[in-house]
Amino acid sequence: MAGLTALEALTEQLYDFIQSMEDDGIVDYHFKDCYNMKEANGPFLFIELIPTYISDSETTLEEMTTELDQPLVKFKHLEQLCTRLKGGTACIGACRVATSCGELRRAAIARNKDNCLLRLEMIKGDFSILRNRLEAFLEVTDMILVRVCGFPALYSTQKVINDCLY
Amino acid sequence: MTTHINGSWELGAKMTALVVDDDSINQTIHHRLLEQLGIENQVARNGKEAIDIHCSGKKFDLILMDRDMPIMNGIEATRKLRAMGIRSMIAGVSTRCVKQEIQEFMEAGLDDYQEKPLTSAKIISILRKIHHSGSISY
Repeated sequence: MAGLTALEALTEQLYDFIQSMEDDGIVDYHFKDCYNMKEANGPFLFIELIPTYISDSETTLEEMTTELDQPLVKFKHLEQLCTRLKGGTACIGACRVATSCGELRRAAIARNKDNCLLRLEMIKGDFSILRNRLEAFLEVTDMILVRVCGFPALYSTQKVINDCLY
Repeated sequence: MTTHINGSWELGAKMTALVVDDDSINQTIHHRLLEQLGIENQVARNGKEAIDIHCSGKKFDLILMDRDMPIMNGIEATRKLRAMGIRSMIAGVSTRCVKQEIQEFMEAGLDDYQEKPLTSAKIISILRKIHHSGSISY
């Protein structure tokens, strides 16, 4: 019974955490919708998505930085990178970074290198905040998994998680 | 003929969809959204894969077509599918919101366009158009 109470408390903490990200304008309601999406064979779809999103986004930001370091910037390529980053970002509900991507894209369309550099720094700042909050979010979900399965998701396979729960 | 019963889409045969998107996050989320609506679906990573899947003989009731993809983008893929005689509902999906860009995509042969992020509500609005057309066409 004490264990269940701790699990409920952690779950409530998780929802409070999501709400705080919404209140701070880092994410919108899509984030909670994505979190509530359940994998067909288990409940942890979103937990697997977030590390992929973070890794893919960091790669795209590096490509943007490289492009803007070139003596001759290919603004069309920069536009495509913006669209790529915005796509995945919008889908998980990370609205602040998605908005910043839109602003960089407009600067790329205007072929304004100085503005692009400024906007890129803003995206990096917004993404850093988002990444820190997402990593903290994953830590809380791991604590929930420890309560449920006895070990955290970082060290679990989906099959083992399913075996615990179903 | 589609019938909306108790929040799900009931068909004589199960409804099918193809998600065409190069981004793994979008692929996963769109795949799951469709699954939750009871729609069997598979994923293509770009326009060329979508064409190849159709050339293999597969057909779908609904195609969710991303605009910006490597190898073959959504505009080119949509044109090619229509030229092949594919009359499935094709809904363009993108983060682009500039009117001229949306128009360019629509003119390639889309039936609908939805701005990302996709939601269940947006997918249902697309499905209603299939319902109102009165038939599933291939």
